[in-house]
Amino acid sequence: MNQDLLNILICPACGSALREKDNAIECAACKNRYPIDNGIPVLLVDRAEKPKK
Amino acid sequence: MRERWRNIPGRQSDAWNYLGIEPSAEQLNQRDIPNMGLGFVQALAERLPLPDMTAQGVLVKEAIDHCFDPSKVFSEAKRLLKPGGVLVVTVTNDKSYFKRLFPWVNQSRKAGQTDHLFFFGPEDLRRLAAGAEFDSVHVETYNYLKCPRVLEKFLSLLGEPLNRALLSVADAKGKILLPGLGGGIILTAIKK
Repeated sequence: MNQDLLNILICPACGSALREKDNAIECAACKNRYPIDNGIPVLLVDRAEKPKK
Repeated sequence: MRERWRNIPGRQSDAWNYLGIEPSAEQLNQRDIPNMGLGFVQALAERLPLPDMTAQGVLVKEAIDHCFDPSKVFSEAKRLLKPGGVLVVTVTNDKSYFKRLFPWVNQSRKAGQTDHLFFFGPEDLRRLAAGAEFDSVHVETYNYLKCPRVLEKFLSLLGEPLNRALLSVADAKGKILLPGLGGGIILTAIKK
């Protein structure tokens, strides 16, 4: 995954910074996890894996 | 298509960077443009995963009529633009001279376009830009020979150079004689 791209992207749910973790993209604040499909970040809230409460 | 993208001025320059936004995985897999700049992100134009004031330009090319909420797309574009940044939107003109002359042809064509959620005339786009409080908005139409399909087929038989020459003459005359009635709309809006 392109690091320059990751640096400018934000979480579509809460607007916070993102980081790559375990082959997915995780929001530093709300902990939503977004998949990466064929190297393309899927930043759709509907596709996010929400943190377990 | 690939050639056209390769020829964009400044594409190789560090001063330019591009990011493509597409909500559909199917469309991303079918895309016929090469990955360039920062590549693509699967996201909604109504909810861009990018911070405020990160772009110098936003291009919505033949896509606004497929978006769920066009007014939100305009406000997201405004949020994304740096001061002085430009939004360019191109879309088919639903109020072209051809569609006004032959409304039944337009109606039957529209019935088949289930992927089009909206249809726009020049004033509709102008209203969307005003709603998002863009500071300087310019709307014009072009493609004066491109809307009647029979004419398009005939023009394609003439070959690319002649076709292109006729189109540019028609556009130059059309803008004066039939303002706002060309086959395509182009909106340019600046954020001050």
